Amino acid sequence: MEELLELLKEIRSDVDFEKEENLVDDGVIDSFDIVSIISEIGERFDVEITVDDILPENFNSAKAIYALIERLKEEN
Amino acid sequence: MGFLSFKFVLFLAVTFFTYFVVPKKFQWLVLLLFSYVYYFLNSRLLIAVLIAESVFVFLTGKALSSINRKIKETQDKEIKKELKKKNKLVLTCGIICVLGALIVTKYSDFIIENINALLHGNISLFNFVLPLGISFYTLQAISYMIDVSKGKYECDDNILHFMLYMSYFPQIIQGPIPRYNRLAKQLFEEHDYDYQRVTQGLQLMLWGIAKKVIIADRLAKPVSYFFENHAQFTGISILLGAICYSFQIYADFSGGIDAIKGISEVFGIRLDDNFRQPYFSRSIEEFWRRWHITLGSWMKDYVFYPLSLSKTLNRLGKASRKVLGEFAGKRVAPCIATFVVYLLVGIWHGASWKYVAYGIWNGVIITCGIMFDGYKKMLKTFRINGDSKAWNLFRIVRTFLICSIGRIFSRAADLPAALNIFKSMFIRPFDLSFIDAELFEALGLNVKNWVLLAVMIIIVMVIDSLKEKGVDIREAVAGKPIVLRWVIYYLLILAILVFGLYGGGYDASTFIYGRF
Repeated sequence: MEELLELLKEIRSDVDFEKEENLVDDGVIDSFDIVSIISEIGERFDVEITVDDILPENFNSAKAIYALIERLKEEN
Repeated sequence: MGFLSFKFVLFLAVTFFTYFVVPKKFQWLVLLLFSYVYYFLNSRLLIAVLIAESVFVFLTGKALSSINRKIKETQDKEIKKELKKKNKLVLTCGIICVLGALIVTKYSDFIIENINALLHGNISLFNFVLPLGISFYTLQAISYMIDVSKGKYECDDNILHFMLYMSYFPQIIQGPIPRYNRLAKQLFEEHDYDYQRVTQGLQLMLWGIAKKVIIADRLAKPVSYFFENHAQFTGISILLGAICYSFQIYADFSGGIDAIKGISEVFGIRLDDNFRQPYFSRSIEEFWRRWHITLGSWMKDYVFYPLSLSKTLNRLGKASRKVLGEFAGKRVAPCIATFVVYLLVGIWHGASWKYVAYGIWNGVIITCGIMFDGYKKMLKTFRINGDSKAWNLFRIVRTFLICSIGRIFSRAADLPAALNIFKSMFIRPFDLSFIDAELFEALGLNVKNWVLLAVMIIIVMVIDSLKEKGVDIREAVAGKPIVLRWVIYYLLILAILVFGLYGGGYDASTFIYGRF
Protein backbone atom coordinates (compact mmCIF):
# COMPACT_ATOMS: atom_id res chain seq x y z
CA MET A 1 0.00 0.00 0.00
CA GLU A 2 2.88 2.36 0.85
CA GLU A 3 4.37 1.88 -2.60
CA LEU A 4 1.01 2.55 -4.23
CA LEU A 5 0.50 5.76 -2.24
CA GLU A 6 3.96 6.91 -3.25
CA LEU A 7 3.18 6.19 -6.90
CA LEU A 8 -0.12 8.08 -6.70
CA LYS A 9 1.59 11.06 -5.04
CA GLU A 10 4.12 11.21 -7.87
CA ILE A 11 1.29 11.48 -10.39
CA ARG A 12 -0.90 13.94 -8.45
CA SER A 13 0.97 15.57 -5.58
CA ASP A 14 -2.01 17.88 -4.88
CA VAL A 15 -4.40 15.05 -3.95
CA ASP A 16 -4.70 13.47 -0.50
CA PHE A 17 -5.00 9.84 -1.60
CA GLU A 18 -5.18 8.57 1.97
CA LYS A 19 -8.41 10.47 2.64
CA GLU A 20 -10.18 10.77 -0.74
CA GLU A 21 -12.94 8.18 -1.20
CA ASN A 22 -14.53 9.45 -4.42
CA LEU A 23 -11.61 10.18 -6.71
CA VAL A 24 -13.52 9.41 -9.90
CA ASP A 25 -17.09 10.27 -8.87
CA ASP A 26 -16.07 13.72 -7.63
CA GLY A 27 -13.81 14.35 -10.63
CA VAL A 28 -10.66 14.62 -8.48
CA ILE A 29 -8.72 12.55 -11.00
CA ASP A 30 -9.37 12.62 -14.74
CA SER A 31 -8.94 10.13 -17.57
CA PHE A 32 -5.36 11.22 -18.16
CA ASP A 33 -4.50 10.55 -14.48
CA ILE A 34 -6.14 7.13 -14.70
CA VAL A 35 -4.08 6.17 -17.74
CA SER A 36 -0.90 7.38 -15.98
CA ILE A 37 -1.81 5.39 -12.83
CA ILE A 38 -2.50 2.24 -14.85
CA SER A 39 0.74 2.59 -16.78
CA GLU A 40 2.77 3.07 -13.55
CA ILE A 41 1.06 0.17 -11.79
CA GLY A 42 1.90 -2.04 -14.78
CA GLU A 43 5.56 -1.05 -14.46
CA ARG A 44 5.94 -1.37 -10.70
CA PHE A 45 3.49 -4.12 -9.70
CA ASP A 46 3.76 -6.23 -12.82
CA VAL A 47 0.00 -6.55 -13.30
CA GLU A 48 -1.97 -5.70 -16.39
CA ILE A 49 -5.01 -3.50 -15.81
CA THR A 50 -7.20 -3.66 -18.90
CA VAL A 51 -9.86 -1.31 -20.17
CA ASP A 52 -12.52 -3.63 -18.66
CA ASP A 53 -11.16 -2.84 -15.19
CA ILE A 54 -11.68 0.90 -15.64
CA LEU A 55 -14.76 1.27 -13.49
CA PRO A 56 -15.26 4.14 -11.02
CA GLU A 57 -15.45 1.67 -8.11
CA ASN A 58 -11.94 0.40 -8.92
CA PHE A 59 -10.39 3.88 -8.89
CA ASN A 60 -12.42 5.83 -6.35
CA SER A 61 -9.79 5.48 -3.60
CA ALA A 62 -6.26 4.25 -3.02
CA LYS A 63 -7.76 1.29 -1.14
CA ALA A 64 -9.91 0.36 -4.13
CA ILE A 65 -6.92 0.59 -6.48
CA TYR A 66 -4.90 -1.59 -4.09
CA ALA A 67 -7.73 -4.14 -3.95
CA LEU A 68 -7.78 -4.22 -7.76
CA ILE A 69 -4.02 -4.86 -7.87
CA GLU A 70 -4.37 -7.67 -5.32
CA ARG A 71 -7.23 -9.24 -7.25
CA LEU A 72 -5.32 -9.12 -10.53
CA LYS A 73 -2.26 -10.63 -8.85
CA GLU A 74 -4.38 -13.51 -7.55
CA GLU A 75 -5.93 -14.08 -10.98
CA ASN A 76 -2.47 -14.30 -12.51
CA MET B 1 -42.45 18.60 -37.89
CA GLY B 2 -39.87 20.89 -36.36
CA PHE B 3 -39.11 20.81 -32.68
CA LEU B 4 -40.57 24.22 -31.89
CA SER B 5 -43.41 24.26 -34.37
CA PHE B 6 -47.09 24.47 -33.45
CA LYS B 7 -47.49 20.91 -34.76
CA PHE B 8 -44.86 19.73 -32.31
CA VAL B 9 -46.54 21.48 -29.38
CA LEU B 10 -49.78 19.72 -30.35
CA PHE B 11 -47.94 16.41 -30.73
CA LEU B 12 -46.36 16.90 -27.31
CA ALA B 13 -49.70 17.72 -25.66
CA VAL B 14 -51.30 14.56 -27.12
CA THR B 15 -48.28 12.45 -26.06
CA PHE B 16 -48.31 13.82 -22.48
CA PHE B 17 -52.07 13.29 -22.22
CA THR B 18 -51.97 9.72 -23.55
CA TYR B 19 -48.93 8.84 -21.42
CA PHE B 20 -50.67 9.74 -18.17
CA VAL B 21 -54.11 8.44 -19.14
CA VAL B 22 -53.21 4.87 -20.16
CA PRO B 23 -52.57 2.20 -17.50
CA LYS B 24 -49.01 2.67 -16.25
CA LYS B 25 -47.80 -0.66 -17.58
CA PHE B 26 -48.46 0.62 -21.12
CA GLN B 27 -46.63 3.95 -20.70
CA TRP B 28 -43.50 2.68 -22.44
CA LEU B 29 -45.62 1.51 -25.38
CA VAL B 30 -47.03 5.03 -25.67
CA LEU B 31 -43.47 6.37 -25.80
CA LEU B 32 -42.53 3.82 -28.45
CA LEU B 33 -45.57 4.59 -30.56
CA PHE B 34 -45.12 8.36 -30.37
CA SER B 35 -41.35 8.11 -30.91
CA TYR B 36 -41.95 6.26 -34.15
CA VAL B 37 -44.74 8.63 -35.19
CA TYR B 38 -42.37 11.56 -34.53
CA TYR B 39 -39.57 9.93 -36.47
CA PHE B 40 -41.85 9.04 -39.39
CA LEU B 41 -43.29 12.57 -39.58
CA ASN B 42 -39.74 13.94 -39.75
CA SER B 43 -37.97 11.37 -41.85
CA ARG B 44 -40.67 9.42 -43.70
CA LEU B 45 -39.16 6.29 -45.28
CA LEU B 46 -35.76 6.78 -43.64
CA ILE B 47 -37.43 5.26 -40.61
CA ALA B 48 -36.47 1.97 -42.28
CA VAL B 49 -32.79 2.65 -41.44
CA LEU B 50 -33.64 3.15 -37.76
CA ILE B 51 -35.77 -0.02 -37.67
CA ALA B 52 -33.14 -2.10 -39.49
CA GLU B 53 -30.36 -0.88 -37.22
CA SER B 54 -32.43 -1.45 -34.07
CA VAL B 55 -33.27 -5.04 -35.10
CA PHE B 56 -29.66 -5.72 -36.10
CA VAL B 57 -28.20 -4.38 -32.85
CA PHE B 58 -30.85 -6.21 -30.81
CA LEU B 59 -29.91 -9.53 -32.46
CA THR B 60 -26.18 -8.82 -32.07
CA GLY B 61 -26.76 -8.15 -28.37
CA LYS B 62 -28.65 -11.45 -28.03
CA ALA B 63 -25.79 -13.33 -29.73
CA LEU B 64 -23.19 -11.66 -27.49
CA SER B 65 -25.11 -12.42 -24.30
CA SER B 66 -25.59 -16.03 -25.34
CA ILE B 67 -21.82 -16.40 -25.96
CA ASN B 68 -21.09 -14.78 -22.58
CA ARG B 69 -23.42 -17.23 -20.82
CA LYS B 70 -21.59 -20.15 -22.45
CA ILE B 71 -18.23 -18.67 -21.36
CA LYS B 72 -19.48 -18.60 -17.75
CA GLU B 73 -20.87 -22.14 -17.91
CA THR B 74 -17.88 -23.90 -19.41
CA GLN B 75 -14.82 -24.94 -17.40
CA ASP B 76 -12.80 -26.00 -20.44
CA LYS B 77 -10.08 -23.40 -21.07
CA GLU B 78 -9.86 -24.15 -24.81
CA ILE B 79 -13.60 -23.78 -25.31
CA LYS B 80 -13.51 -20.58 -23.25
CA LYS B 81 -10.77 -19.21 -25.49
CA GLU B 82 -12.73 -20.09 -28.63
CA LEU B 83 -15.88 -18.48 -27.24
CA LYS B 84 -14.01 -15.31 -26.35
CA LYS B 85 -12.72 -15.16 -29.91
CA LYS B 86 -16.27 -15.62 -31.18
CA ASN B 87 -17.45 -12.82 -28.87
CA LYS B 88 -14.82 -10.49 -30.34
CA LEU B 89 -15.74 -11.50 -33.88
CA VAL B 90 -19.47 -10.89 -33.36
CA LEU B 91 -18.74 -7.53 -31.71
CA THR B 92 -16.37 -6.48 -34.51
CA CYS B 93 -18.92 -7.42 -37.18
CA GLY B 94 -21.63 -5.55 -35.27
CA ILE B 95 -19.54 -2.40 -34.97
CA ILE B 96 -18.44 -2.56 -38.63
CA CYS B 97 -22.05 -2.84 -39.84
CA VAL B 98 -23.41 -0.05 -37.63
CA LEU B 99 -20.47 2.25 -38.27
CA GLY B 100 -20.63 1.29 -41.95
CA ALA B 101 -24.22 2.57 -42.14
CA LEU B 102 -23.08 5.91 -40.70
CA ILE B 103 -20.03 6.13 -42.98
CA VAL B 104 -22.04 5.28 -46.10
CA THR B 105 -24.85 7.76 -45.39
CA LYS B 106 -22.76 10.57 -43.92
CA TYR B 107 -19.26 10.33 -45.34
CA SER B 108 -19.43 8.43 -48.66
CA ASP B 109 -19.86 11.54 -50.84
CA PHE B 110 -16.99 13.29 -49.03
CA ILE B 111 -14.73 10.27 -49.58
CA ILE B 112 -15.75 9.97 -53.25
CA GLU B 113 -15.19 13.70 -53.86
CA ASN B 114 -11.67 13.41 -52.48
CA ILE B 115 -10.90 10.27 -54.48
CA ASN B 116 -12.18 12.04 -57.62
CA ALA B 117 -10.05 15.10 -56.87
CA LEU B 118 -6.96 13.04 -56.12
CA LEU B 119 -7.16 10.60 -59.02
CA HIS B 120 -9.01 12.91 -61.43
CA GLY B 121 -11.77 10.30 -61.38
CA ASN B 122 -15.43 10.63 -62.14
CA ILE B 123 -17.16 8.39 -59.63
CA SER B 124 -20.78 9.50 -59.15
CA LEU B 125 -21.91 10.67 -55.74
CA PHE B 126 -24.59 8.80 -53.80
CA ASN B 127 -26.32 11.96 -52.55
CA PHE B 128 -27.81 10.07 -49.61
CA VAL B 129 -30.20 11.92 -47.35
CA LEU B 130 -28.83 11.66 -43.82
CA PRO B 131 -31.29 9.78 -41.58
CA LEU B 132 -32.35 11.99 -38.66
CA GLY B 133 -30.23 11.40 -35.56
CA ILE B 134 -28.01 8.71 -37.12
CA SER B 135 -24.84 10.31 -35.70
CA PHE B 136 -26.36 9.99 -32.25
CA TYR B 137 -28.08 6.59 -32.39
CA THR B 138 -25.01 4.98 -34.00
CA LEU B 139 -22.98 5.86 -30.91
CA GLN B 140 -25.65 4.56 -28.55
CA ALA B 141 -25.84 1.31 -30.55
CA ILE B 142 -22.06 0.85 -30.42
CA SER B 143 -21.86 1.48 -26.67
CA TYR B 144 -24.67 -1.06 -26.12
CA MET B 145 -22.90 -3.78 -28.14
CA ILE B 146 -19.52 -3.17 -26.45
CA ASP B 147 -21.04 -3.16 -22.95
CA VAL B 148 -23.03 -6.35 -23.58
CA SER B 149 -19.96 -7.99 -25.10
CA LYS B 150 -17.93 -7.17 -21.98
CA GLY B 151 -20.69 -8.47 -19.74
CA LYS B 152 -21.33 -5.08 -18.18
CA TYR B 153 -25.04 -5.89 -18.40
CA GLU B 154 -27.29 -8.49 -20.01
CA CYS B 155 -28.80 -7.85 -23.44
CA ASP B 156 -32.40 -6.67 -23.76
CA ASP B 157 -34.75 -9.61 -24.32
CA ASN B 158 -37.65 -7.62 -25.68
CA ILE B 159 -37.21 -6.19 -29.16
CA LEU B 160 -39.86 -3.49 -28.61
CA HIS B 161 -38.06 -2.37 -25.45
CA PHE B 162 -34.85 -2.09 -27.40
CA MET B 163 -36.53 -0.21 -30.24
CA LEU B 164 -37.69 2.38 -27.72
CA TYR B 165 -34.16 2.76 -26.33
CA MET B 166 -32.94 3.50 -29.88
CA SER B 167 -35.77 5.83 -30.88
CA TYR B 168 -36.85 7.69 -27.69
CA PHE B 169 -38.13 10.85 -29.36
CA PRO B 170 -37.02 13.73 -27.15
CA GLN B 171 -33.35 12.82 -27.49
CA ILE B 172 -33.07 11.29 -30.96
CA ILE B 173 -32.38 14.58 -32.79
CA GLN B 174 -29.41 15.94 -30.86
CA GLY B 175 -28.78 13.79 -27.80
CA PRO B 176 -27.77 13.68 -25.02
CA ILE B 177 -26.17 10.39 -26.11
CA PRO B 178 -27.60 7.89 -23.63
CA ARG B 179 -26.15 4.73 -22.09
CA TYR B 180 -28.42 1.72 -22.04
CA ASN B 181 -27.82 0.92 -18.35
CA ARG B 182 -28.88 4.40 -17.29
CA LEU B 183 -31.76 5.07 -19.70
CA ALA B 184 -33.49 1.74 -20.38
CA LYS B 185 -34.63 1.04 -16.82
CA GLN B 186 -36.26 4.46 -16.58
CA LEU B 187 -38.02 4.01 -19.93
CA PHE B 188 -39.81 0.86 -18.81
CA GLU B 189 -40.59 1.88 -15.23
CA GLU B 190 -44.08 3.03 -14.36
CA HIS B 191 -44.29 6.76 -13.70
CA ASP B 192 -46.87 8.59 -11.61
CA TYR B 193 -48.16 12.02 -12.53
CA ASP B 194 -46.11 14.10 -10.12
CA TYR B 195 -47.20 17.75 -10.20
CA GLN B 196 -43.85 19.12 -9.01
CA ARG B 197 -41.83 17.01 -11.45
CA VAL B 198 -44.11 17.89 -14.37
CA THR B 199 -44.00 21.65 -13.67
CA GLN B 200 -40.23 21.53 -13.17
CA GLY B 201 -39.87 19.67 -16.48
CA LEU B 202 -42.04 22.23 -18.27
CA GLN B 203 -40.08 25.04 -16.63
CA LEU B 204 -36.79 23.58 -17.93
CA MET B 205 -38.33 23.14 -21.37
CA LEU B 206 -39.49 26.78 -21.43
CA TRP B 207 -36.06 27.99 -20.32
CA GLY B 208 -34.44 25.99 -23.12
CA ILE B 209 -36.87 27.36 -25.71
CA ALA B 210 -36.28 30.91 -24.42
CA LYS B 211 -32.52 30.55 -24.93
CA LYS B 212 -33.11 29.16 -28.40
CA VAL B 213 -35.63 31.69 -29.73
CA ILE B 214 -34.38 34.80 -27.95
CA ILE B 215 -30.59 34.39 -28.27
CA ALA B 216 -29.74 31.71 -30.84
CA ASP B 217 -32.33 32.64 -33.46
CA ARG B 218 -31.67 36.36 -32.96
CA LEU B 219 -27.93 35.84 -33.51
CA ALA B 220 -28.49 33.58 -36.54
CA LYS B 221 -28.84 36.47 -39.02
CA PRO B 222 -25.76 38.52 -38.01
CA VAL B 223 -23.64 35.37 -37.70
CA SER B 224 -24.74 34.18 -41.16
CA TYR B 225 -24.03 37.62 -42.60
CA PHE B 226 -20.58 37.62 -41.00
CA PHE B 227 -19.57 34.21 -42.33
CA GLU B 228 -21.11 34.75 -45.77
CA ASN B 229 -19.40 38.13 -46.19
CA HIS B 230 -16.20 37.43 -44.26
CA ALA B 231 -14.06 39.12 -46.92
CA GLN B 232 -15.19 42.55 -45.69
CA PHE B 233 -14.08 41.90 -42.09
CA THR B 234 -10.61 42.10 -40.59
CA GLY B 235 -8.89 42.10 -37.20
CA ILE B 236 -11.04 42.48 -34.13
CA SER B 237 -14.29 42.29 -36.12
CA ILE B 238 -13.47 38.63 -36.88
CA LEU B 239 -13.14 37.97 -33.19
CA LEU B 240 -16.49 39.66 -32.54
CA GLY B 241 -18.12 37.52 -35.24
CA ALA B 242 -16.62 34.36 -33.74
CA ILE B 243 -17.80 35.37 -30.24
CA CYS B 244 -21.33 35.94 -31.55
CA TYR B 245 -21.26 32.44 -33.02
CA SER B 246 -20.04 31.02 -29.70
CA PHE B 247 -23.07 32.49 -27.92
CA GLN B 248 -25.39 31.42 -30.73
CA ILE B 249 -24.31 27.78 -30.68
CA TYR B 250 -24.33 27.63 -26.87
CA ALA B 251 -27.86 29.05 -26.69
CA ASP B 252 -28.96 26.79 -29.54
CA PHE B 253 -27.46 23.53 -28.29
CA SER B 254 -27.89 23.97 -24.56
CA GLY B 255 -31.36 25.44 -25.17
CA GLY B 256 -32.28 22.39 -27.23
CA ILE B 257 -30.89 20.02 -24.61
CA ASP B 258 -32.75 21.83 -21.79
CA ALA B 259 -35.98 21.52 -23.78
CA ILE B 260 -35.31 17.82 -24.41
CA LYS B 261 -34.45 17.16 -20.75
CA GLY B 262 -37.51 19.10 -19.63
CA ILE B 263 -39.86 17.12 -21.90
CA SER B 264 -38.26 13.89 -20.71
CA GLU B 265 -38.63 14.94 -17.08
CA VAL B 266 -42.37 15.31 -17.58
CA PHE B 267 -42.41 11.59 -18.47
CA GLY B 268 -40.36 10.92 -15.33
CA ILE B 269 -37.22 10.06 -17.31
CA ARG B 270 -34.01 11.81 -16.33
CA LEU B 271 -31.54 12.19 -19.18
CA ASP B 272 -27.80 12.63 -18.63
CA ASP B 273 -26.38 16.13 -18.28
CA ASN B 274 -24.79 17.47 -21.46
CA PHE B 275 -23.43 20.81 -20.20
CA ARG B 276 -21.73 22.06 -17.08
CA GLN B 277 -21.23 25.82 -17.55
CA PRO B 278 -18.71 25.33 -20.41
CA TYR B 279 -17.84 29.02 -20.73
CA PHE B 280 -16.41 28.99 -17.22
CA SER B 281 -13.68 26.53 -18.23
CA ARG B 282 -10.08 27.47 -17.54
CA SER B 283 -8.57 25.33 -20.30
CA ILE B 284 -9.70 23.86 -23.61
CA GLU B 285 -9.38 20.38 -22.13
CA GLU B 286 -11.71 21.40 -19.31
CA PHE B 287 -14.07 23.00 -21.85
CA TRP B 288 -14.51 19.67 -23.62
CA ARG B 289 -15.32 18.03 -20.28
CA ARG B 290 -18.12 20.56 -19.78
CA TRP B 291 -19.45 20.87 -23.37
CA HIS B 292 -21.43 18.01 -24.95
CA ILE B 293 -20.49 15.88 -21.95
CA THR B 294 -22.17 12.71 -23.23
CA LEU B 295 -20.13 12.77 -26.47
CA GLY B 296 -16.92 13.39 -24.49
CA SER B 297 -17.65 10.61 -22.05
CA TRP B 298 -18.52 8.24 -24.94
CA MET B 299 -15.21 9.05 -26.59
CA LYS B 300 -13.37 8.60 -23.29
CA ASP B 301 -14.84 5.16 -22.59
CA TYR B 302 -14.86 3.68 -26.09
CA VAL B 303 -11.89 5.38 -27.80
CA PHE B 304 -9.50 7.05 -25.34
CA TYR B 305 -9.11 4.25 -22.76
CA PRO B 306 -8.93 1.33 -25.21
CA LEU B 307 -6.44 3.24 -27.35
CA SER B 308 -4.20 4.53 -24.54
CA LEU B 309 -4.07 1.08 -22.95
CA SER B 310 -3.57 -0.77 -26.24
CA LYS B 311 -0.47 -2.91 -26.57
CA THR B 312 0.82 -0.87 -29.53
CA LEU B 313 0.65 2.44 -27.69
CA ASN B 314 2.05 0.82 -24.56
CA ARG B 315 5.09 -0.40 -26.49
CA LEU B 316 5.43 3.02 -28.09
CA GLY B 317 5.24 4.64 -24.65
CA LYS B 318 8.01 2.41 -23.31
CA ALA B 319 10.22 3.14 -26.32
CA SER B 320 9.50 6.87 -26.02
CA ARG B 321 10.63 6.93 -22.38
CA LYS B 322 14.06 5.80 -23.48
CA VAL B 323 14.29 8.42 -26.22
CA LEU B 324 12.37 11.39 -24.75
CA GLY B 325 12.94 10.83 -21.06
CA GLU B 326 10.55 9.92 -18.25
CA PHE B 327 8.22 12.94 -18.34
CA ALA B 328 7.59 13.26 -22.08
CA GLY B 329 7.82 9.51 -22.74
CA LYS B 330 5.06 8.77 -20.24
CA ARG B 331 2.75 11.18 -21.99
CA VAL B 332 3.18 9.90 -25.54
CA ALA B 333 0.48 7.19 -25.41
CA PRO B 334 -2.26 9.35 -23.80
CA CYS B 335 -1.31 12.23 -26.11
CA ILE B 336 -1.79 10.14 -29.24
CA ALA B 337 -5.08 8.76 -27.87
CA THR B 338 -6.22 12.29 -26.98
CA PHE B 339 -5.36 13.58 -30.43
CA VAL B 340 -7.28 10.73 -32.10
CA VAL B 341 -10.30 11.46 -29.86
CA TYR B 342 -10.43 15.13 -30.85
CA LEU B 343 -9.90 14.31 -34.50
CA LEU B 344 -12.85 11.91 -34.31
CA VAL B 345 -14.95 14.50 -32.46
CA GLY B 346 -14.20 16.93 -35.31
CA ILE B 347 -15.07 14.40 -38.02
CA TRP B 348 -18.21 13.32 -36.12
CA HIS B 349 -19.56 16.84 -36.64
CA GLY B 350 -19.63 16.45 -40.41
CA ALA B 351 -18.11 15.25 -43.66
CA SER B 352 -15.82 18.11 -44.61
CA TRP B 353 -12.17 19.08 -44.31
CA LYS B 354 -13.21 22.00 -42.12
CA TYR B 355 -14.32 19.53 -39.43
CA VAL B 356 -11.04 17.62 -39.76
CA ALA B 357 -9.24 20.94 -39.20
CA TYR B 358 -11.52 21.69 -36.25
CA GLY B 359 -10.55 18.35 -34.70
CA ILE B 360 -6.85 18.99 -35.34
CA TRP B 361 -7.12 22.50 -33.81
CA ASN B 362 -8.55 21.10 -30.56
CA GLY B 363 -6.29 18.04 -30.59
CA VAL B 364 -3.12 20.10 -31.03
CA ILE B 365 -4.03 22.61 -28.29
CA ILE B 366 -4.91 19.89 -25.78
CA THR B 367 -1.93 17.63 -26.49
CA CYS B 368 0.39 20.65 -26.24
CA GLY B 369 -1.16 21.36 -22.83
CA ILE B 370 -0.48 17.76 -21.73
CA MET B 371 3.13 17.87 -22.90
CA PHE B 372 3.80 21.31 -21.36
CA ASP B 373 5.66 20.83 -18.10
CA GLY B 374 6.35 24.42 -17.18
CA TYR B 375 3.01 25.63 -15.78
CA LYS B 376 4.12 25.82 -12.14
CA LYS B 377 7.53 27.15 -13.15
CA MET B 378 5.88 29.81 -15.31
CA LEU B 379 3.65 30.97 -12.42
CA LYS B 380 6.72 31.20 -10.20
CA THR B 381 8.83 33.08 -12.78
CA PHE B 382 6.13 35.68 -13.40
CA ARG B 383 5.15 35.71 -9.70
CA ILE B 384 1.54 34.85 -10.49
CA ASN B 385 -0.73 33.57 -7.76
CA GLY B 386 -2.33 30.57 -9.47
CA ASP B 387 -5.34 30.69 -7.10
CA SER B 388 -6.07 34.40 -7.50
CA LYS B 389 -9.43 35.46 -8.95
CA ALA B 390 -7.77 37.71 -11.55
CA TRP B 391 -5.60 34.87 -12.89
CA ASN B 392 -8.56 32.50 -13.07
CA LEU B 393 -10.67 35.13 -14.82
CA PHE B 394 -7.86 35.61 -17.32
CA ARG B 395 -7.79 31.84 -17.94
CA ILE B 396 -11.58 31.73 -18.43
CA VAL B 397 -11.52 34.61 -20.94
CA ARG B 398 -8.50 33.15 -22.74
CA THR B 399 -10.18 29.73 -23.03
CA PHE B 400 -13.40 31.31 -24.30
CA LEU B 401 -11.49 33.24 -26.98
CA ILE B 402 -9.45 30.21 -28.12
CA CYS B 403 -12.62 28.19 -28.25
CA SER B 404 -14.46 30.89 -30.23
CA ILE B 405 -11.58 31.23 -32.71
CA GLY B 406 -11.49 27.44 -33.17
CA ARG B 407 -15.19 27.47 -33.99
CA ILE B 408 -14.41 29.48 -37.13
CA PHE B 409 -13.42 26.12 -38.63
CA SER B 410 -16.75 24.51 -37.88
CA ARG B 411 -18.92 27.47 -38.94
CA ALA B 412 -17.13 28.73 -42.06
CA ALA B 413 -18.51 27.51 -45.38
CA ASP B 414 -15.44 25.34 -46.00
CA LEU B 415 -11.78 24.99 -45.08
CA PRO B 416 -10.41 27.63 -47.52
CA ALA B 417 -12.98 30.13 -46.19
CA ALA B 418 -11.97 29.31 -42.60
CA LEU B 419 -8.29 29.82 -43.42
CA ASN B 420 -9.05 33.14 -45.12
CA ILE B 421 -10.96 34.30 -42.05
CA PHE B 422 -7.96 33.32 -39.91
CA LYS B 423 -5.64 35.29 -42.17
CA SER B 424 -7.88 38.35 -42.03
CA MET B 425 -7.73 38.29 -38.25
CA PHE B 426 -4.16 39.59 -38.45
CA ILE B 427 -4.95 42.39 -40.91
CA ARG B 428 -5.55 45.81 -39.29
CA PRO B 429 -6.14 44.07 -35.95
CA PHE B 430 -7.54 47.04 -34.05
CA ASP B 431 -9.45 48.77 -36.84
CA LEU B 432 -12.96 49.62 -35.60
CA SER B 433 -13.97 51.77 -38.54
CA PHE B 434 -16.13 48.94 -39.87
CA ILE B 435 -18.75 49.71 -37.22
CA ASP B 436 -21.27 52.04 -38.86
CA ALA B 437 -25.00 52.30 -39.45
CA GLU B 438 -24.69 50.43 -42.73
CA LEU B 439 -23.19 47.41 -40.99
CA PHE B 440 -25.96 47.33 -38.39
CA GLU B 441 -28.51 47.39 -41.17
CA ALA B 442 -26.72 44.57 -42.98
CA LEU B 443 -26.56 42.49 -39.82
CA GLY B 444 -30.33 42.66 -39.67
CA LEU B 445 -30.77 43.71 -36.04
CA ASN B 446 -31.56 47.15 -34.67
CA VAL B 447 -30.12 48.63 -31.46
CA LYS B 448 -33.11 47.44 -29.38
CA ASN B 449 -32.48 43.88 -30.50
CA TRP B 450 -28.78 44.07 -29.67
CA VAL B 451 -29.65 45.40 -26.20
CA LEU B 452 -32.17 42.58 -25.70
CA LEU B 453 -29.55 40.08 -26.82
CA ALA B 454 -26.98 41.47 -24.41
CA VAL B 455 -29.46 41.39 -21.50
CA MET B 456 -30.47 37.79 -22.23
CA ILE B 457 -26.85 36.65 -22.60
CA ILE B 458 -26.02 38.31 -19.26
CA ILE B 459 -28.99 36.52 -17.63
CA VAL B 460 -27.77 33.17 -19.03
CA MET B 461 -24.21 33.80 -17.83
CA VAL B 462 -25.37 34.94 -14.37
CA ILE B 463 -27.45 31.77 -14.03
CA ASP B 464 -24.43 29.73 -15.17
CA SER B 465 -22.27 31.55 -12.63
CA LEU B 466 -24.77 30.75 -9.85
CA LYS B 467 -24.77 27.10 -10.90
CA GLU B 468 -20.98 27.23 -10.86
CA LYS B 469 -21.20 28.32 -7.22
CA GLY B 470 -23.41 25.33 -6.47
CA VAL B 471 -26.77 27.14 -6.39
CA ASP B 472 -29.59 24.89 -7.62
CA ILE B 473 -31.72 27.40 -9.53
CA ARG B 474 -34.59 25.00 -10.10
CA GLU B 475 -34.77 24.08 -6.43
CA ALA B 476 -34.62 27.77 -5.55
CA VAL B 477 -37.56 28.52 -7.89
CA ALA B 478 -39.48 25.49 -6.57
CA GLY B 479 -39.04 26.84 -3.04
CA LYS B 480 -40.73 30.15 -3.86
CA PRO B 481 -44.45 30.78 -3.10
CA ILE B 482 -46.79 29.44 -5.78
CA VAL B 483 -47.80 32.93 -6.96
CA LEU B 484 -44.20 33.96 -7.56
CA ARG B 485 -43.49 30.65 -9.31
CA TRP B 486 -46.35 31.16 -11.73
CA VAL B 487 -45.29 34.76 -12.33
CA ILE B 488 -41.88 33.37 -13.38
CA TYR B 489 -43.51 30.78 -15.68
CA TYR B 490 -45.78 33.36 -17.30
CA LEU B 491 -42.89 35.77 -17.75
CA LEU B 492 -40.94 33.00 -19.49
CA ILE B 493 -43.86 32.19 -21.80
CA LEU B 494 -44.41 35.88 -22.47
CA ALA B 495 -40.69 36.40 -23.19
CA ILE B 496 -40.74 33.47 -25.65
CA LEU B 497 -43.82 34.83 -27.42
CA VAL B 498 -42.79 38.48 -27.44
CA PHE B 499 -39.02 38.32 -27.81
CA GLY B 500 -38.69 35.09 -29.78
CA LEU B 501 -38.04 35.54 -33.47
CA TYR B 502 -40.49 33.86 -35.82
CA GLY B 503 -41.56 34.15 -39.39
CA GLY B 504 -39.60 34.78 -42.59
CA GLY B 505 -35.84 34.47 -42.32
CA TYR B 506 -35.96 32.73 -38.94
CA ASP B 507 -36.17 29.04 -38.37
CA ALA B 508 -37.11 28.29 -34.82
CA SER B 509 -37.76 24.67 -35.65
CA THR B 510 -34.24 23.43 -36.38
CA PHE B 511 -31.18 23.12 -34.23
CA ILE B 512 -27.53 23.43 -35.28
CA TYR B 513 -26.61 20.10 -33.69
CA GLY B 514 -29.56 18.39 -35.35
CA ARG B 515 -27.61 18.70 -38.61
CA PHE B 516 -24.52 16.91 -37.29
